[in-house]
Amino acid sequence: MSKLQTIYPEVLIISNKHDYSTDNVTYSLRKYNSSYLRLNRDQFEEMKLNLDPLTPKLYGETSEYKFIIDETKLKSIYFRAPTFLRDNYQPELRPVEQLARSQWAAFVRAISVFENVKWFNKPKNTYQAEIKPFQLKKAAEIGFEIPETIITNDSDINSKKFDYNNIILKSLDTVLLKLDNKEGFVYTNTVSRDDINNADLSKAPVILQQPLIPKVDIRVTVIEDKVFAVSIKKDGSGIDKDWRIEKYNVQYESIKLSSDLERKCVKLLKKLGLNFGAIDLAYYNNKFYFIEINPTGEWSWLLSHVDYPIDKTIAEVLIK
Amino acid sequence: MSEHILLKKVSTYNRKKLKDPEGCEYDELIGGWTIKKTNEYLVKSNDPKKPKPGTKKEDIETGEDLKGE
Repeated sequence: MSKLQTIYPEVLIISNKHDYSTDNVTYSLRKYNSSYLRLNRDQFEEMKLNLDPLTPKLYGETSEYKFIIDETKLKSIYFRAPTFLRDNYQPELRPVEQLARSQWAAFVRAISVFENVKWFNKPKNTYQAEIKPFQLKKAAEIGFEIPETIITNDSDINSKKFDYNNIILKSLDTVLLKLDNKEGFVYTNTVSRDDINNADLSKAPVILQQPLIPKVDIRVTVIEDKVFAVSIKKDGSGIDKDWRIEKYNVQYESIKLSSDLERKCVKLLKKLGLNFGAIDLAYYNNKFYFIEINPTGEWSWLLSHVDYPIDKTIAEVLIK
Repeated sequence: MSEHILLKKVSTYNRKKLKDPEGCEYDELIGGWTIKKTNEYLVKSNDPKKPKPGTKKEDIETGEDLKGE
């Protein structure tokens, strides 16, 4: 007969073992004496898991404890797991590895049966909110300034009402490529009209946008109605290219947005059904422009740069 | 046929292999890494070897929810 302790958590965290941002949240949850449980996707194989989708309840057992996820006791779920999946099928993986990837991913999605608790964020809402053109439309409806945008596979730039010498080129979705022994990623780029005119876009559509140059990037982390904004500069000036290329050389400074802009950020989350979001804005020509929202945006790197209690705030809203 | 413009703009990097932080252990019950010697929470310690958080999860440019995983 097993004598393991049984946990009935009020907060469930779906993460992975090396996601250190989650450690910041569990640290705060401990301080608040919360009953929480962190389940790591990379440790699922070491657990016994039984999900009853109707009650709904998730029964689990590890070598150290048992747990029951019961909606009558559960308040919230902090979901730090992928929503989009792009590489379940990879020929170099053994069949059992391919199977494990797709089926565990589906198991994580199945946690959606806990409908009546607060989610950070619901996977279906993250899925929709990750669609860049959809974000732009919703942000415009709220009253954000939006850079002129077109999604196209037609390189004839002169046929479009796009009167800019330089153009912002973005991928419509994250570009992640396997290139021999390396991986490839595409940042946002500034290109010329000729670059677009001479390109063959027929194989894959792209996003073309109005250039906002010079600009200052603003990252706004929103947790329900709490707003934490920072400006991102290098040597005191904005960065005209994708700031992530310079991420080891930039300075972050906490800034206070106007109450109108804060309200718009909170409203956008509500409109997208999100409780958490990291919004990228650009300050250009005395106006703040909406660039994008990351429903699963990272935040823990900011903790060492600005005095924002983001981790503590996440813990507070999870147990509220 | 010329290469797609996005392919011309690809930045390449070596995929980092995830390693357990040195001298630390993952505590299942508290849901976090602690330093074996002091029992401190790694992310809240002043240990110079603690992992530096990135702008992406695990600082991998696959998107902020490990979309490529």
